[in-house]
Amino acid sequence: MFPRKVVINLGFKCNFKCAHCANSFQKKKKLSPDEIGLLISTINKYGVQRVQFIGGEPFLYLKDINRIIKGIVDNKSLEVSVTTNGSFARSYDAAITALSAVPHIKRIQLSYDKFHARFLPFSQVENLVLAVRAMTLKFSVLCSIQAPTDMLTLAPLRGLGHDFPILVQKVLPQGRAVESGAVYSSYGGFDGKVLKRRCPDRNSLVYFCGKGFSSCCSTLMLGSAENGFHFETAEELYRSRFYRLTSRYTFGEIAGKLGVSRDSFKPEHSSVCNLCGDIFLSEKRGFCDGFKADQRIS
Amino acid sequence: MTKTDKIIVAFLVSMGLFSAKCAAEYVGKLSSGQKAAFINLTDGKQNTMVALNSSPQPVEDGKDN
Repeated sequence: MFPRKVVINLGFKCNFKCAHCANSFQKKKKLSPDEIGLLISTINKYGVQRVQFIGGEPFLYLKDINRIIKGIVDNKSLEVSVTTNGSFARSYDAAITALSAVPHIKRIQLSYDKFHARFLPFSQVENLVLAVRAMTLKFSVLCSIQAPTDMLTLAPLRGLGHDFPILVQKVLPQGRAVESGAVYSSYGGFDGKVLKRRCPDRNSLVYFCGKGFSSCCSTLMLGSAENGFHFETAEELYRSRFYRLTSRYTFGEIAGKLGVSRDSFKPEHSSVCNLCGDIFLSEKRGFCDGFKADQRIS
Repeated sequence: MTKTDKIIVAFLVSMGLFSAKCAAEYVGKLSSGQKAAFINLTDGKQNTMVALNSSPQPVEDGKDN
């Protein structure tokens, strides 16, 4: 197994306090030297050329970003991307300075939605877009929504005169989103098409500070204290039943193998991450139909 | 259903947020101001919108922070 991309959560420190934040209850602030060494050796071992930094706010971890990138031996075609809240873009010059501090940076993904907009003035979005354009970086916006009308927050982006993709993501029931009531709930009904999908992150290797490696960047990594979904090394992940299932099978097939009844699906399971999390946690918590799941897994 | 409603329904379905039937019900509850804002959002070719944790296949870089 050779991951196409490594996604690194540098820690959960952030200078915003968004109502929908999935990471709000995570404790670990920073990667340890051992974790950084493990990440470098893993990237080198698999020859990965695409590295994405997430947080927390990655620009609060510039030293760690540089330590990791400097350790990558084969960096001729290295592509670094960062998912950020844009708080560093207080001016055009400040944005250029911050972006230039990340070696091999090729792509910026800005988290911008009604939640982030409470902390990020639109003028800083404009600064960032200008800086990204000047540095010829790829750019996208990640927008979390509590309801479809939250997409209307994006309307001013259309006036920036710069073409870029906007990725829309429903707020999942994790972290602060649960207590603040920000979870997406406008599901019309259960959409069975989701059962034919596979994990969209199955080709990525995700590392979360203080937790370990997984292919999950969402529900099972952040919303569950259960074991079996994150691992000390990439090799342990690739040997795991969790990886075998999520990399080979559709969610409908996984549900069948784990003995989860399709009658139990609710409208919110139309989102793959909700569906995946509940399928695996149902088995962990003994809600399945009594078969020994392992016997049905090839 | 008006042409405006149909455009918004098609947009919401293409985003994977609703089935066509549920989208029509949802759009029926929107105010005229909200409908106008949606039309403005869907107008033109600039900015491709993609839904992540819903039905359409996502792009690879969809990680929240």
